[in-house]
Amino acid sequence: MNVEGAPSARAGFEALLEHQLDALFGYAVRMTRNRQEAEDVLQEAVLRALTAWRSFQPGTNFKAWLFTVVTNAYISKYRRRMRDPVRAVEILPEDGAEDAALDAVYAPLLTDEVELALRDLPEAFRGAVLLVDLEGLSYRDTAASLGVPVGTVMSRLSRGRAMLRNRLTRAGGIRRRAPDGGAS
Amino acid sequence: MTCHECREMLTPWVDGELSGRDAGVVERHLAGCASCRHEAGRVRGFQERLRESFARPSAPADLRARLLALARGESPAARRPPLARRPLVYALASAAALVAVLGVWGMRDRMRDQKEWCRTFVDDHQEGLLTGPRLENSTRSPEELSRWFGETMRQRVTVPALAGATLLGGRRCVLKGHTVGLAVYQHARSQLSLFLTDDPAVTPPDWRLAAGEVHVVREGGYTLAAWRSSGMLRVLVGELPPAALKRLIAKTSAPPA
Repeated sequence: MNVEGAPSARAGFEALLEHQLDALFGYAVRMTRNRQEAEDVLQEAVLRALTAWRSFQPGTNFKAWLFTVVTNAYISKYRRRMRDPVRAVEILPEDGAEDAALDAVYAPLLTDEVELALRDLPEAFRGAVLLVDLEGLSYRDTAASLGVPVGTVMSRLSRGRAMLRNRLTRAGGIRRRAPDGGAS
Repeated sequence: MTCHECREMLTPWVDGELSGRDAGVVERHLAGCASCRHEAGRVRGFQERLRESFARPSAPADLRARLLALARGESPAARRPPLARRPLVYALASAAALVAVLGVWGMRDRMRDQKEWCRTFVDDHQEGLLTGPRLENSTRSPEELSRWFGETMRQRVTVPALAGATLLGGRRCVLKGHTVGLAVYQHARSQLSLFLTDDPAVTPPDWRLAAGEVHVVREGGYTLAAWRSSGMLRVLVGELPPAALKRLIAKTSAPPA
């Protein structure tokens, strides 16, 4: 079985993937809540996507398809594990090592009210909120990515948003994010 | 449309997910109902602030490079160097004491690594049992699978034939950032996972693993056997008792040339 495919076909895949990488990274990190696991999920997802690339139908939503592949990689690798509450803090660099570039990447995910509220959402609700509210996928594409009916997406979305709203309203509302990324 | 019905539909309406007809019904109700209009404003306001408030981190440069290399079909780039460890703050009486302490410190880290690796292998094996083997290549021929691993992983990975077991196929998998090969076998009524890699950073369960030695441990209810062969690390995971797994490995045919 030849996984590599024609060079021109592969080139298309890499370019399309590159465009979505940051979004996929944000999704993987927020779902796994663990740096190493997020990286493993993403690498596994890229391998699977490359393998499945030949059967991808042009004209369908490539972004939604990629999120489906990442979701499946996440489910297959990590969802069945017993969740250890301590793991939530593993998103921090190990051993307090200094790495300013990495700190800059992860800091907003650790300190921001909304990110903290999001992290505490049950996984099913978090996935729906991330895909619809953060990534702007339609209910239909979100349903396909999560492998559930549209009705389930709507119910998870409404409950996830209600939890966020309750928590953030108690905390004083959502601070508007300044253009430079800092909260005002 | 009652106010209750309208409020049920406000979220999909704000998201633009209602059909033209349903959206029309909602809008007609809103035109005549101040309290539902007010609620719609709150829902929309929260949605907009939520969407604007998300951080949008960029993937770290080395992860980005690794993912794009994988997408090009290249072998994975070298792993990011390990993060600096905390400096030792012991007051030591002599150089000999220093050597002893460093040796223990190093070994403790390695043993923690090895335990984690054992769990990682076992978790992946268990995952395969729960979801069924997901194979990228369903060949029954160890030679063909070895060739396929060589092409797709750029590692020299030789897949053995296991006595009394049928090869079902294999795939690449990513464990703790490393791409390793996985060959899946059917043995009696259970499945065996054989992880294969020539990457020295993948830690065997027993760091004293010498040529010809097979190290067997129990982890999470499964038996795990590790040995080195032809410069390659092999880790076999299954439900067999340790003695049975060792016998199976001893009868393994020589790897294909």
